[in-house]
Amino acid sequence: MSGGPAGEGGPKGANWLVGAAVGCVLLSALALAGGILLHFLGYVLASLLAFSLIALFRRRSSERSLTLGIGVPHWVKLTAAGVLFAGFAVSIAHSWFIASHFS
Amino acid sequence: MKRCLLVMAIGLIALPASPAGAKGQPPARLSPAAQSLARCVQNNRQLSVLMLIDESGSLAATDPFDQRVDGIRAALTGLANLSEASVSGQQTDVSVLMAGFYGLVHPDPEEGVPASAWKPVGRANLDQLLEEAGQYEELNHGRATDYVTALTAARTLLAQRAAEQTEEGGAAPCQALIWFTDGRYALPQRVGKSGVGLPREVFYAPGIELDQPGVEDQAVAAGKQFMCKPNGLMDQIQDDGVIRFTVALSTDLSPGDAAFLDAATTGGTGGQRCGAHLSHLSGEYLSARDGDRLFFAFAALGGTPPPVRVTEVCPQLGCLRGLVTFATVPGLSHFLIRASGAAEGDPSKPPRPLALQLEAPNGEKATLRPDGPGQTSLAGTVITPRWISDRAVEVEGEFSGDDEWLGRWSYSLADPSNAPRAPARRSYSAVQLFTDLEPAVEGSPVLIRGAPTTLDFKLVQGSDPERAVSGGPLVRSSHLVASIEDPVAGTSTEVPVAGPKPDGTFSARVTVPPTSTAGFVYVGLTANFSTAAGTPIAPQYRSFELPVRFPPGHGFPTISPSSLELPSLRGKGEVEGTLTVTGSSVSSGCVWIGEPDVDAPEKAGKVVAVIAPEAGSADRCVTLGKGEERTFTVRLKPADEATGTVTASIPVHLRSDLVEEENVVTVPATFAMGPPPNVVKQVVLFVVLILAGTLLPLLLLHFLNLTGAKFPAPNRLRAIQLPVEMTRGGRLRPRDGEGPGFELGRGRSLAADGSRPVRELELGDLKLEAVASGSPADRTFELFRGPYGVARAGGRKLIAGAQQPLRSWSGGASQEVPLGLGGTWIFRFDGLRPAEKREAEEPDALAGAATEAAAGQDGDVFFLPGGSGGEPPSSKAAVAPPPREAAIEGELYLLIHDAPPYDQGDELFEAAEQGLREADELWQEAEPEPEPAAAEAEAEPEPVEPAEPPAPPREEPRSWSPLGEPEERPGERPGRGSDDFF
Repeated sequence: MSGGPAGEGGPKGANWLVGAAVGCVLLSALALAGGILLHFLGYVLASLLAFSLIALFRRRSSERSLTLGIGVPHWVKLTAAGVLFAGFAVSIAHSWFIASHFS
Repeated sequence: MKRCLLVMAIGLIALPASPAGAKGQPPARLSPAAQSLARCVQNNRQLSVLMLIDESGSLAATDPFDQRVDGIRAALTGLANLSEASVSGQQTDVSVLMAGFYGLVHPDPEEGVPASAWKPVGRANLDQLLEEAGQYEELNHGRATDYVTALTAARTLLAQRAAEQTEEGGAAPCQALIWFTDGRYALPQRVGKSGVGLPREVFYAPGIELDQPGVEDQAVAAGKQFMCKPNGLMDQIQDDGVIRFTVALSTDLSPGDAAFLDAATTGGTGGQRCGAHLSHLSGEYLSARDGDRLFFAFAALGGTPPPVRVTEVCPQLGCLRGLVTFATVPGLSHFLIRASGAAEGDPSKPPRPLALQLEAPNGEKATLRPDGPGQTSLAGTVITPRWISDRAVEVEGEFSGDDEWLGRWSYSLADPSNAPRAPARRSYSAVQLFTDLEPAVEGSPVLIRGAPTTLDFKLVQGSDPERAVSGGPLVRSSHLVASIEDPVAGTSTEVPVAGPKPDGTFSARVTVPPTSTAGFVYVGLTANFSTAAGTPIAPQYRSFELPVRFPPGHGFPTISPSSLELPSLRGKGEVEGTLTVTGSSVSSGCVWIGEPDVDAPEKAGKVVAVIAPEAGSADRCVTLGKGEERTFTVRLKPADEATGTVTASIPVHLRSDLVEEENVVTVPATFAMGPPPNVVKQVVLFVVLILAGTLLPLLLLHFLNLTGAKFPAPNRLRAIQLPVEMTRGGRLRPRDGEGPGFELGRGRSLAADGSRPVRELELGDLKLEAVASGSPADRTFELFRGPYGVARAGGRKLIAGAQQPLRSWSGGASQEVPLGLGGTWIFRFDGLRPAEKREAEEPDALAGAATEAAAGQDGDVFFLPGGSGGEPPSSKAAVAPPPREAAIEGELYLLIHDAPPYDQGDELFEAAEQGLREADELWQEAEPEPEPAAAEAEAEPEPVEPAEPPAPPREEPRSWSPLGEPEERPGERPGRGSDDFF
């Protein structure tokens, strides 16, 4: 973790956002084991929330780097990209289950 | 308590009431069909209920008060109770589908019914389901009453449901069909309005044109034949494992029609017969001669409907007429009161809403109304009324730990409207008490084929087998009934139970006939209770699966599992299961598997069974050593796709070398068949979902960007506009270098442009526009970056600076500006003023120039060439006027906040100067190609030192632009790098 002030725009704020995005994708992955309602939930979580969280994180990160002059830590970049990738992958799985359910 | 609810909810439409089982009287118990359903639910925990509801126009006459809707609602309420009930910590997953029928059926299974059409039933959505049921009050205009069309669709809907639920394997879900009809199979002539939307011919009566007169009887006869022939429609529904309940709605049903409905449901008795497989074990017929009682028939889902008391509705609140009392004793968990007021009086008017008055043993009273609160408390008892209609209510009272609730309760239905001279209305009500004591089998007994086995039973609290209850008034009054059901032979045998003994246990001797081939049997236990006051207590039913073995020491192998629950089959293909046979510890043996007896839907054709390893006869049997384990794979492959349930009986022959005998154990196997998945639909849905999943978040982001793409209210900004020029390395000065310098002041307020945030702003010929997620004109797409502003000046090059990196596009014609605007400078590049040499001037003029230069030493320097000299101009230097350097010319816009400090303009000016000094691209553009002469001149400098003050010292970038070392990107000015990381 990088140092710096805590808060919305600080590293801790970014950590929370990354944590939320990872949790979101994990929940979505867990929902793969459930029924159609959980598949819907997982689909929404994976495709929408993970995406939006990454976007929010991205903007927080911008603010932070602008106001503090701190670059984005490398691990954050990797995690963010990983979350996006995992979100898409899980979303595809949920979509397939939902499509199979209704066909 | 929940256990009681389960039992209450399972035994749908019970046998005609028999008195509650006081000792010495016939014990009350669930009807056979209700028992079948209860057993299935207890073992499977999944129940799908299809309500097939008559919508024919004749209902207007046969069911004028919409009793079917009250019935549907009562059934839904009971099913919700069932879903809330828990047995051994497991809840039952109950789902329901309401389908209407007349000459057609909707939803039509041929058009595809999504799984989501099946609604889960629970307390959470009960109100919504009850409201949905209300639509059937209006749905009574259908033409014809076509039983075959309706029941064929019902069978398909249920089969599709079973296939969906067993896609991954597992036990077949329990299924029930509740069939509401006014009782007459009718196919009137389909001409004119009567024939609109209906087919001229029905599939079960080919060749009969229904638009012809006089063919109705012929078509109806064909339909009844189709339903009731051996292996006909009703047999197929039975073979699919569907428990059927038929409710005749009409109050004036002819005996012939009633007998046909009864036979189509239960197989019938006497003259009227239907099918070859139907029985009371799987079907129950209810004739609702009194519509008001229908509510009780459905609400009494516990199987043993308590006696219905007929009294009068009190004409006003607080009267004693029609009072009903009941007494509570220790050991009870809750009570249920079902009460309904008759719809008497003017038939053209709806019955008036009623209220139920309830009084507890401690004298506390409550009046429950249809529009009243959902829950109240009385004598430590939580009272929950559920109004099925304005005049029918189910009231549940859940007892708490203290004893205030013990004693005499009373209730009555009242008409709170106090209508003058209202005719007397009958009130029907029934009260039932519940306990959470339930029967259980002691230990884990194994039954021996052909030998008697003593089974011990006990009563336990809730579902916990460790919490045996041995005393108390309920245990003392209890009476157990046991039944042994052989799943292979399809027989059910009642077994006498002795007890309760002083220690509260019961016992029975059970013998599985030596002719049975079942590997297990179901032991059904019904516990009946009674109170001294005679108030009925709901019986408790539990079913247990007990294994059946050969006598110990005979050395026969054992089989596991005792039944095969195979995954469903969608379309064509095969299903596979595994049987494991284990040799006895005392003897070697041999095993072979005979040809399974398969019962499949007609369309499935022949079902081929393949068993590996192949051991189909005694001489090809697979030998087993002592304790050796062998695995057999069973594959079942129907010839064609179909909808329905396939059941197979697999005969496993076992031989013991010890006794040199052979025995057979029949292993039942089931799987559901459904239509193949629609691949096109599947792929289209998948693509749509992926697109939606990708595009929706992007659209959401764009929307967020759109809402944020605004400049601040202009009245919070001030602008300073200056025509300037600047030589390379020099300082900003007024255009053409006249005058002493700038008086920046506070600038011009933009208040005239409005007091609300704006998307566009104009400063002279400078146009500012807020951009949400990018601009096609600039060929940029910045969804993730967020909104930003763009400045344009009719195609002229712009340069800007602010606290953050800024980008530019279109060769500088579009320049990014921050949305905040305050603290931003923008320079509009108007062009280059080329360098020019000056002719020698008169000494006076030169002296003037020197004076001017000297004056500029304190900061504002005009007409000075670049250089590093610091000497003041000498008279020698004045001989030749200095050449005028190339300079960039343009308009500088300083945007500042309309707030203190008021020297923002000065700071911004300095920042602009610094920024322009570093704007190499401007200078590259501004500097002319060096001419040979100029190059020469450069090589041989003029002997005269230019009259130039020291150049302003190079300053480090000001700290108010804390950008560190951003990376450079095309289109971005150095020092204004992007922080993108994607």
